[in-house]
Amino acid sequence: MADIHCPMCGKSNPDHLEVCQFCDARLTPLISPKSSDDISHQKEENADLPEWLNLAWDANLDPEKSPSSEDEADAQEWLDRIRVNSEEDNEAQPDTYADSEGATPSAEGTEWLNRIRSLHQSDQETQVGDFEEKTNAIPQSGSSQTQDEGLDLDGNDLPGWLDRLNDGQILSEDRTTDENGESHNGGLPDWLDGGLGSEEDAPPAEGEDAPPAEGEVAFDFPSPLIDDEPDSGESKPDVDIPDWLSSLGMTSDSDEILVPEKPDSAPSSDTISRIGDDEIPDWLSNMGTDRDPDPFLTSDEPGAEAIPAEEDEEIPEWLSTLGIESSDEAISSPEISQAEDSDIPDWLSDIGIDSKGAEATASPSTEGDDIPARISEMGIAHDSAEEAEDTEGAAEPISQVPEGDMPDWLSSFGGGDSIPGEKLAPEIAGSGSEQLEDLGDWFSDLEGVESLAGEPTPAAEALETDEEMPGWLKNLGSVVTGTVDDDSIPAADDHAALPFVQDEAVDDDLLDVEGLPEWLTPDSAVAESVEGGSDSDLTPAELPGWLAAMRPIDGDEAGGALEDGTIESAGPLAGLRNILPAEPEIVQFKKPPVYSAKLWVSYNQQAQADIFQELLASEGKATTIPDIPLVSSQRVLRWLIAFILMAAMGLMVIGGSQNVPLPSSAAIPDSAYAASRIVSAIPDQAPVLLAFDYEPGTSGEMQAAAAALVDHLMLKGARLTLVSTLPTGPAVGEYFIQNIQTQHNYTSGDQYVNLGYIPGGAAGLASFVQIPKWVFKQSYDGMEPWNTQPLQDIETISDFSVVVIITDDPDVARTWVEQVQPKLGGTPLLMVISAQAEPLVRPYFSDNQNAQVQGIINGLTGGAAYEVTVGKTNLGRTYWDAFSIGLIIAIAMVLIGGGANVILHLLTQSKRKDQGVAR
Amino acid sequence: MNLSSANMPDLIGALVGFTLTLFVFSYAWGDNPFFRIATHLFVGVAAGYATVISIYNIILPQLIFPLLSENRGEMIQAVIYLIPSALVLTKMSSQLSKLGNPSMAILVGIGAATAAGGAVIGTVSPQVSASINIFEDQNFINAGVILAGTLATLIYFHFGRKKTSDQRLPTEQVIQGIGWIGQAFIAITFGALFAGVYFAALTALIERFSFLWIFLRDFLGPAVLG
Repeated sequence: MADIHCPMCGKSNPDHLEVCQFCDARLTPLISPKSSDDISHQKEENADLPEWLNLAWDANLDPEKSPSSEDEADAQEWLDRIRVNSEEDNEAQPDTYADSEGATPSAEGTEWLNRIRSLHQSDQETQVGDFEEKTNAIPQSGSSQTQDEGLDLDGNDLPGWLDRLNDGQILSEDRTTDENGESHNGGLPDWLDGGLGSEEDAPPAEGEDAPPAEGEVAFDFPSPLIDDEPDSGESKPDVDIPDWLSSLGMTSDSDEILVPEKPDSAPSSDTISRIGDDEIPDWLSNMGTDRDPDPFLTSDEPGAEAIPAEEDEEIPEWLSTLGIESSDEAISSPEISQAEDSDIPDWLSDIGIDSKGAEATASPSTEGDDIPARISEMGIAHDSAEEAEDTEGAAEPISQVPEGDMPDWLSSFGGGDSIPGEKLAPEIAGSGSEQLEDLGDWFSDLEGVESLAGEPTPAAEALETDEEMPGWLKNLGSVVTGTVDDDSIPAADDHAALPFVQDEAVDDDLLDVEGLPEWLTPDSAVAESVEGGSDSDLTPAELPGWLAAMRPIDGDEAGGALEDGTIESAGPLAGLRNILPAEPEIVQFKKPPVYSAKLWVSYNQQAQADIFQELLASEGKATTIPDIPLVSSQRVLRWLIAFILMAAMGLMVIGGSQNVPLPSSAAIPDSAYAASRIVSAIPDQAPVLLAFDYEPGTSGEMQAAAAALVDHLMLKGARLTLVSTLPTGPAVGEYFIQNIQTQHNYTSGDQYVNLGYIPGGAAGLASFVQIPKWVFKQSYDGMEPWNTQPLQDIETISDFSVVVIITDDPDVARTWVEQVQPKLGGTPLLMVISAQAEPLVRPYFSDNQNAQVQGIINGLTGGAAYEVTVGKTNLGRTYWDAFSIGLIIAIAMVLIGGGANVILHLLTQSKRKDQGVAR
Repeated sequence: MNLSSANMPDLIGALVGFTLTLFVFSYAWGDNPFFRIATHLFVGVAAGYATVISIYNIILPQLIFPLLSENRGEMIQAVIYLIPSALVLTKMSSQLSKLGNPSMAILVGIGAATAAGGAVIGTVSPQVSASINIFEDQNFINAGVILAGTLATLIYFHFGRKKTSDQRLPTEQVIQGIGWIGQAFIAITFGALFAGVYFAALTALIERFSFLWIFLRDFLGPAVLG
């Protein structure tokens, strides 16, 4: 079982599968072969075609059906007629070559020859390989070595001339000399041999006209004709129709089984081998030489070297890109020039002379008149003058080819030569348009290309007027001619515009020349190609402005261009106009703009900034304290008050005035009376506890207040026990006893005992109340107090007859009341307090027996009152006048000061009212 | 006091007293170094005197002498006193201050408890009972004034929050009016206190003038007048 390789993954699959079992790619085309209806319909359309062409078409439909020998004979017969007519036409029109416009025959020939090769290559291949593999094989096949090897493998059937056509080189080695010394071209026609013979040193025999052998016809169609040619599977046709023609028919009919086009493939050895040297017409041989610009033909190949070197400069770019090399020496080759002048038909002139220019056409001709030298130039590349000289021998046989060998229709195909109408089938003779109507589908595509031709060129007109030329071939010729004459489509695109392309992606509109932009029109291309030429008949085309601007110019042109714009004079863009002037912009510099350094701020911001600045500035400055004036209102007032008081007090004290009466008995407070009664009530020599809890600073008041009471106690002979909750109290008490009551001569330890300081505040006082002996281990003067007379029989505080608290601090008085009074029991508690503490101690006083404080003597007033109650003067009386004056002065100052403040306030109010009314 | 019969220490004391008295009077012309010398001297002498009193009246008789005594009981008592007293001294060191906390706790606790108890027993209860029994003396005027003054003063210290700033309840207006009366009582009280201060100061001034006069009369008189 044969396997089918998947075109996608390359793996083998059974032939009955339609989808690859590995990658699910489709193995067979989706489009099935045409049905019988389609075939019958196609046959009806092909009724106008020549019989041999229909047979070829049938053979294509049925590969197993081989053409009969009769058909092959008929095809050979008309082909022979074509050759004869071509030769006659060449003789009749010897020199239309020079007038022909530039065309791209070599490119065309290269393309369709390549496609023929790819076609036959595909015949050999039973399976379609990966496209990339084939493309990778292309460069290899492009090499001469590989092609030569391929030719050798093809067997003996391959004509040598076709080998040269296929591999793009002139196989000089195929030129053999027979035993008679005649040079044989391996069946290559003379006229074609002439084209090929420019390469090698084996000149063919002059005047030899070797017609192609019957049944072995090889014809190279332009590549578009076989672009989509299917694999026929036939390697050797048995019918009259040449293989190439039958392949052509198959190609047109079986579009569905197109083989992927390969850019280039090695020539099919089978196909080429079927082409006999004798069967190839001369014109075809010449065409075969045109395929030299095979893109895969390297410059070092012999075929490439055979091309005249002079054409390298003269040929247009499209031809240069095809790989043709030329040299200056070849340009001056006289043989070639002569051939061009005399024998080159017009259609061939159209192929290459336009691009060559007037210089090429004016070159002297040393070639024969029969063979167009242009053909040989297109097929052979020369790199050196020596090789160019070798072309002389090859040119001779070409020149001897009769003009009648080139069929007219083929002449028109190339340059306008017509094919004799009597040698063509009558049914296909006629105008090109009529022929198109008679053609089948595979030829109907030529219409699109025909429209591409635009106006008929001389070659096309010649083809149309030729009645003998087969219609289909005439159309073909017109198509090619039109393509060449119009020169509207670049050579590289010719194959895409040619008719047999069944690719639906190609839109006919795209091939419409009229729809193309102006710069893409054939006229513009031709004008551009012939620009600079010396042909006076050709009017130089006008380049577009932008294109002319981009054209490097020098000398006078540059100077002229300066008037329109700036021309770059240096750098890689030198000579270009209207370019961006970079250098002047760089060199030119401007003065940098000066920006204001002033900060734009608002008024408020400026004010705040000023304040902040002043604040910062003031931080470093020492504030000056204003000097206090020695004499001010306050100071004067203070001095005045002090002076008044001191003066009054001083006078009273110094004067020893006692004129102011003491408070009357009615004015004596109850507290003083109560205290006097209590003291008066105690027994004589009764133990009395005296607490001196005042500061030395208030000793003046406290002494005056307590002097009468203590004096009264001493009068009673009370045993005094002195204590104090203040550290200074013992000293104050000692001073009071020793200095105030000096008249009583109380001594420590006898009449009184100074226990000293009671530490611990309230707690210490409470402790003293609980156990007096634990608090005081010794007296203020260091003796044991509890053994002294005053403390005899004293165990607790309640053992004292009276407890007298002399204090200037209300808190101390309260502490005594709180801590001691509850422990006193029936012992009365008397308070001698400062005048300032009276309001706070007064609430503890009461006249009843249950009062906490049973008698209070407050300040000098209380002491004076107590003196009144006792009837004995003391310090109270001494200070009373001064005290009274001081009270009067104080009251006066209060009244005066208060009255002054009221007056000032009223004045201020009146001023404010006056100001308010005024406003 | 008769300076003529005074001994030399008393004369020096009287002279110092006279000088310092003049220094203090110099304050009538403003703050001056004499016044500051006098004040600083008073403070220093008072502190020194307090220290001496503490040492001689407390530390020596309460701690040191019992330790040296032959009485074992006093010795143990002194040791018991000495330990917490020594721990109080650790409060001077930041690292050992925690050692004095127990002693301080005892002192503060006992002092607070004593003050609180004494205040309740010696002030609050008697004052409340006295206020209740104010009308027992049939002196309704005084009783009424005292009652009114006490209530008005207490109401014055009523700190209530207004519901809204615009609205005032009638009770609030009454409380505010009574508070104003209480404020008057408070003002009179402070006036009385100020008058008492003035009386005390005036008495001290008179005493100082008397001292100066006596000093001048008894010390400088014979010396000057012969």
